[in-house]
Amino acid sequence: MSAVPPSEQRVVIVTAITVLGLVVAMVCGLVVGPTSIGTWRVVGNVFSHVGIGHSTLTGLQSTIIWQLRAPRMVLGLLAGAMLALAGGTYQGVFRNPLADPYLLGVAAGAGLGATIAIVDVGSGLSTPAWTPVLAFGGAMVAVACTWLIGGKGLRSNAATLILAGVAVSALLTSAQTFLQQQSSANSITHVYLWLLGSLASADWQSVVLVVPYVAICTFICVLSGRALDAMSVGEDESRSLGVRVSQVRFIVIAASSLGTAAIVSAVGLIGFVGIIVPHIVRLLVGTSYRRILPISVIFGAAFLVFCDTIARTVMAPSELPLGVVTAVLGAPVFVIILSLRRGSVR
Amino acid sequence: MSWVEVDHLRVKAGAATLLTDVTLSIEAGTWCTIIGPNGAGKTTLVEAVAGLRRVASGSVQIAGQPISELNERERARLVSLVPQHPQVPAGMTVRDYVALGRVAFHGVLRAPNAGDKRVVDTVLERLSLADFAQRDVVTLSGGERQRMVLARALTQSTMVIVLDEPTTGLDLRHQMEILELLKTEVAECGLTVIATLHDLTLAGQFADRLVLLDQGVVVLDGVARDVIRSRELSEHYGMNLRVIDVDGSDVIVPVRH
Amino acid sequence: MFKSLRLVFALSVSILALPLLGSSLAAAGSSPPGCVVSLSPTATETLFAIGAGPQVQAVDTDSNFPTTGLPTKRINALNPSVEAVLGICKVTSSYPSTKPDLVVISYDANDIQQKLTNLGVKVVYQDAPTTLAGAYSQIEQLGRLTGHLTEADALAASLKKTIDADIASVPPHPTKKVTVYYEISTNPYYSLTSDTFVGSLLKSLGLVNVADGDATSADAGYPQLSGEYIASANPKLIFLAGDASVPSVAKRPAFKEVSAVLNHHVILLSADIASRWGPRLGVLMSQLTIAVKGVLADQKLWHTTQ
Repeated sequence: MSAVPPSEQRVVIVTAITVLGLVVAMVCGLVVGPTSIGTWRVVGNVFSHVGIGHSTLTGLQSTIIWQLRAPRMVLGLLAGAMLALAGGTYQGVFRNPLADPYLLGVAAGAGLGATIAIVDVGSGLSTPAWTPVLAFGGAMVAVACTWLIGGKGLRSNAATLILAGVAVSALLTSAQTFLQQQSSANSITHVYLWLLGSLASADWQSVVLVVPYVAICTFICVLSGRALDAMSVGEDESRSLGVRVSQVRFIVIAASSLGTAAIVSAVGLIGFVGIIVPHIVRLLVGTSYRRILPISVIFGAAFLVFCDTIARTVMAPSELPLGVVTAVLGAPVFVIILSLRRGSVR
Repeated sequence: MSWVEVDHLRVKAGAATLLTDVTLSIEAGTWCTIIGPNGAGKTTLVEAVAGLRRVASGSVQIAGQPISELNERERARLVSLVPQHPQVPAGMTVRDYVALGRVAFHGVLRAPNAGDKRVVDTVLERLSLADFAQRDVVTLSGGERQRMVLARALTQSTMVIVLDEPTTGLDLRHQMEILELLKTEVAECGLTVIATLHDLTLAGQFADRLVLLDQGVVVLDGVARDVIRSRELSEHYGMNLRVIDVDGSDVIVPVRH
Repeated sequence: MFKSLRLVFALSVSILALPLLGSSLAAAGSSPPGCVVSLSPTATETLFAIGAGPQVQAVDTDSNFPTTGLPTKRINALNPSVEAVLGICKVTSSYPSTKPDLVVISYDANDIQQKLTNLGVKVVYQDAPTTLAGAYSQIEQLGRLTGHLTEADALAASLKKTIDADIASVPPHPTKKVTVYYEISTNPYYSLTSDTFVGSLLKSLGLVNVADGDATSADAGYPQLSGEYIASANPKLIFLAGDASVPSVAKRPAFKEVSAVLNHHVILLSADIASRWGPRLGVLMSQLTIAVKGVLADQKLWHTTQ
């Protein structure tokens, strides 16, 4: 481990490369796909929308770009950014490197909500149209239960909250499994596919629904970086330094959970991004959350769009589950950077 | 009204009572050391003064303000803490760590301003930590680390500083170094020090006042000279303690029968 | 004056009639779809059976019948790429677009129905029917949409004829109740009730389904049964439509003394035939019928049907 944490200069370089990666990912998200549409023609079409030049794409191609690829790319940016950020803030609040955005029951709650919507409960009445709403509601209810059981985070420590999250998740997951067991094979498949997480059903409507949550929550979480750094000396010491630990914890957890729940309701449970991206960023720029959080936003967005481009193209005309690609891509990247840096996790 | 007023303080942990009816008045600019055998409640008392303990009854007032009515930020401007086992987060620079002491001033949403940076620089200089400023905190030795934690408390610029066994894990030289530093601060800046120490000689040499605590109760409270010569000291420590004058300084030694 | 009134009247009538004329012209003028994508194995069988095979340019990965003539382009119906579907058709002089003009699905994955419909593709959702009439109407619908209505009607009629004949050929047995257990999966045991499509077929053959007694509305037609329950219901006939083999059933401790096992009335059905509701319905029905008649005539039926 080096004696001197990464310098400011290094952080600037990493940020620049990450932003570049984001731009490349966004371009790939528009240009790459199972139906080949020439790169420059796409660029030309983009420029034509801002009044420069004219487009040479056919109506169908233009529709593919703007109604299929573009909303999917934007939703991928939002999802990747929010999940990476939520994972990073959770790791900071709980000072636990294994924290991911689904820690406090968000996944289990959303899964149960989605299952209730999808599974034929009762007289063959299934309401899949309500899936996003119920998933969102389930996630927030789960986090609220965790918060209440975990002692409202007031005089409890972080470990108590995590344990409460484990308990709530276990309970809700078992309820979900019970419902799935009772239902028909079709519903089980549907729930399973929803749980796998996918950007395939993205459209501009879901983007618009998700944007306000992600915007607000990103703003709050990125601002919390300095507080999380102060809290890295432990609860008692940070209280003595003047950090209002309970307040910070509540705000940060609420914002992370809200943003994550919004994302999960739109795209299901995309795993791995939330836990691995902050770690990769930490290996590159050090342990300060003031640096980790904003860079994770960019890195996460780029990473997920990049993975989705692969997921929707390599097995055309079918698609790969997105969670498979994030794991297959993310794990080796992490291992490589880990072996190069051999840094430590705070 | 003294600078620090502890009034009939009672602290419990579950069914057990850790402190019973503790009353202290500590003047500004004095050094008060809490002594007592293991398990006496010394750490609990200083943590309560720093506002980190839930109080069953009684109160702690600093500069006339009951600290239980203050939020963390207001309290942090009044009293700072040097814990016995500080958490040292890997990957942080010494400068950033010491600068955490200024969080009480600029808050967690704003960056330190020029004034904050000046305070940090001055303290680093004064505690001979300037050369380590960019080092990772985990690479510091025990003595350097203790100086660093003290530096953080000093940047908090509080009138009261609370230290729990500040000599833990230090060799004799560094023990003296830290205590001399504190003594200077008391003399030059009028800092009020409340500390716990297990070494009775050091306690007697550096403190103005000693408070003997045993089983959560204040047994003796007075001028250092008098307390170390008291009968109660030997009684509560369960040993035969003698005071020897060496070149004008009091040295306390246990004597076997 | 009356003459002009008559003229005005004739004019208004013809003006009112124009839209009707226009639509029938349009209907007569529209040609059958040149690029059909089937994401349902049942629909694939039907399309090829009614002569629409040449129009089908892509099918799903589970479509495996007919054994020859299926297009090479395969799409995973559970995770299809909507964009790829839009670009799947071969561009020719007669069909100048890559966009299909008819897509048949039995499962709405990735929001494909709405997405394709919004982009001007006709999407038809044909999931499992609950009655034979529903199955016939799906065949007719595909015939209508692909311009093979005559063949579709003929197929549906012939199916109806053989199935009705099969049902009629089962001798009435008012005193002899034939109980049946239809197994979809083994571990745990899942069955289906008379509310389902196959269940209705069993019922039409006069069979009493043991699953009917144990199901609640939450099961939506596919209850999980315990080994004990099946054993105590003592079915006279067992159909295996899952992954179990006939000899393995005899080895199950709960089933050893069951009437169907003792009398060799355990029938293995081909999973494909039993899970589809297309042209091979007749085959399924005849297998079911042979089994029932065998039970009634006390014939041994260690039967493996492919």
